[in-house]
Amino acid sequence: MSALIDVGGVRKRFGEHEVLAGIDLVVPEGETIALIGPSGGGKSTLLRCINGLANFDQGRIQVGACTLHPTRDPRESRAAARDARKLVGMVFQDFQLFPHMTALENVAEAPIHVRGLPRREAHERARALLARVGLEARADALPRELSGGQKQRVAIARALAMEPKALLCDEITSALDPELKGEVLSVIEKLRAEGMTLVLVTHEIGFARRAADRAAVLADGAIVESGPARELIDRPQTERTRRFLERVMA
Amino acid sequence: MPAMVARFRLAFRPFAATASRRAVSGQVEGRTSKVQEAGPKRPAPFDLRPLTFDLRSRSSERVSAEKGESRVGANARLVACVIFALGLLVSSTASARLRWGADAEGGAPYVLRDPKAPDKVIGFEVDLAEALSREVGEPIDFVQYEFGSLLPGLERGDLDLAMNGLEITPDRVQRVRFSRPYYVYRLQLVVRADDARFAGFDACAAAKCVVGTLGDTAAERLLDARGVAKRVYDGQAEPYRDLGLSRLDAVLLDVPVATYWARPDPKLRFVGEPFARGLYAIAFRKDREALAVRFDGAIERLAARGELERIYKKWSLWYDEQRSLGALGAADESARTWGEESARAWTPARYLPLLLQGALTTILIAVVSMVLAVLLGLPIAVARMWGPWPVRWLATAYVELFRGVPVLLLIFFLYYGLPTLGVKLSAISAAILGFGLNYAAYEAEIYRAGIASIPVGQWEAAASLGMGRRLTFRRVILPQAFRVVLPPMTNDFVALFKDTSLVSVIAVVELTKQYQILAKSSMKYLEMGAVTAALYLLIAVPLGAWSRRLEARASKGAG
Repeated sequence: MSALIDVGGVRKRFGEHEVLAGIDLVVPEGETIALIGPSGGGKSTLLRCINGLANFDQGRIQVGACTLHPTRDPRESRAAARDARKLVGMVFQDFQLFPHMTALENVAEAPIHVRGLPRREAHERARALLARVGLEARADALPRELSGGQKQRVAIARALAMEPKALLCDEITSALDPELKGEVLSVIEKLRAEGMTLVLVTHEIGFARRAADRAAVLADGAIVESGPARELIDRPQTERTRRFLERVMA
Repeated sequence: MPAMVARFRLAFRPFAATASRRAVSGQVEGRTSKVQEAGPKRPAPFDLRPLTFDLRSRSSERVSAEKGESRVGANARLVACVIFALGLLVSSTASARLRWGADAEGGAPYVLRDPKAPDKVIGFEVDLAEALSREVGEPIDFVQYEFGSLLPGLERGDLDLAMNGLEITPDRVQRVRFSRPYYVYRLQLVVRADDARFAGFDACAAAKCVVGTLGDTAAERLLDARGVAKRVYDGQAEPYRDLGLSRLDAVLLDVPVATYWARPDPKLRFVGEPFARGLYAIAFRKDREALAVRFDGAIERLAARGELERIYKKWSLWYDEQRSLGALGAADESARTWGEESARAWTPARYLPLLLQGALTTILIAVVSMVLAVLLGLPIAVARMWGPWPVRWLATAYVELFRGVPVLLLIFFLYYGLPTLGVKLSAISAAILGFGLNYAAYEAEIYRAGIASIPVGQWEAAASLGMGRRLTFRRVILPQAFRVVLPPMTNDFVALFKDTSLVSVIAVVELTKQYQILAKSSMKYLEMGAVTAALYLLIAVPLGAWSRRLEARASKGAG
């Protein structure tokens, strides 16, 4: 398996605080990796860097054939980010569906206006994607008419519509009621089974253990431990990971 | 964090905008409120300022005498108020000095500010007032009063007499007691010097020309009676200025006005003989008969002694016809004028079409200006938010400039100032452009706040889908921002709709102006005012309902 995402020596600071203190991370194609760790450890920031939503001060991030560098030229960074985003889609904690469009329109928006797909074809495919996340019946609903879990599934379908090789999921169940988390997580498991590369920032340790191939623990801007998910969670090797897991599982 | 601060500030801009707009309309209202202020400014016994001043500085005997008690320090304010109220009462009933109302704003040669000493007034009526004061043995004080409001001012008791080229007309005779006439006027047609199209008024009327004149004058009534297209002005200088700029074909006004404003102008010339004889007289309230009689006598004596001739000659206003003044009595002459002008019956059927016409003009100006403002506002907002710094700077300068300048001044400048630079706009275009430019600044700020209110997550979500910034703006941000700005935008439209009443300064007759003209000539202030207000509401209320529906429809998409 070749590396789809290759993060090398990435550092980023907000003023005095170093959010990312030299991150190295390789995600091979088809792998599901869970990024876990205490809040403020840099998980979300790392995800945003991979997708070009945040810039960084040092290092490089390779996404497929495209490389993101620290740059001061906004035009250059936008161009690099555009290339990276063709390969990686992103799902956000707070959904960020377009509130003025129906579920179907949300999903079809980028294929029509970015990839130039004919409207009818885009809608057909959007319908199929909604079916994949179990929402074909709600295609014409507006976001405000959907439950949180349904919104997040539409958001996943929307990201999939651009046919990315990898999906970055940023705490996608954190804003959901416990009984709604399952429907979203089962969609993720389905995607994994279909061979999608997944980077999951999550607090659902149980889910990470079950569904991820690998887990990495980020604390204070660094990866303190990484390895096969089940092994790492059942038998943490570092004190830092042990403390974190004890707190979360308690 | 800086982004949040910026948004906070933005969100407040529209409110600041509304406040400043209110300030603009306040200035306009100031025109009338200045009239009321004129009262206490007069140097007279009922002038209250010295009195209240006395109260505060030293404990005046006058106060203790009137109030009986003298705890002045603590109660000074209260006492001052009481005295002020008493003073107002006194001033409206028994005053030792006579208050003469006239309009010195562009009032040559009747009453005008002395260019050498602008705190004084000069003019043939000022000379006349001095002569009359000697004759009746009472001091007369000049009170600045808007021409169109002179008669209401008399009735309110602000004035004892109104003398300002007031023609004896049937409408007015019903309202006030006119003195014996003091001047015989005729109307004079003035055209451009290089315009040889017509030799006199009849030819002009036949040629379907547009004639400028003053509102509520004999000239205006004559134009109406002959069915000649007219443009009505507030001041005497403006019609001649517009004539020179070819905005009018001719100006018809009283000979004294034409003599003073048009004769010295080489671009203009008199055509035909003066015609349509009429009389100026002093107006009194009907219950001041005794005072009026004294002035009748005074005018008669001044005419007999040749005093009038001396004054009118000094102002180049004398011609032989004035000799008939000595032989005229007030009553029979006003009776004769009655015959000359058909008495008007101001039924709704007659004035309503005129008001509706005004309402149409109001709607036209408001709608086209708003479209202009909406179209212009968006690029300005975008330039302010994301333009390269020179563009951003220009857009900011635009907003600050057009938001900071009173729209009245802007319209005045566009209409009267731009021709100096060779750009000649029609009155309606100047009005639309003025409001459009002014409101574009407000709209730009509203849009900016609206756009900034859309969460940054929406930009990021679109970006993560590969959407570029422009595409995101057009497809994701703008439709949501529209929903946010719709209520303040509608609010602005209603405000603009009412602001259109300002354009009467450049002789556009819209609803409010039409009301003023009609009400002043008919004295039906209340009835026509109610009808006019109803017309405004008839437009504004459905507008509000429509915008609420639009909002409801737009907010269907709210997540």
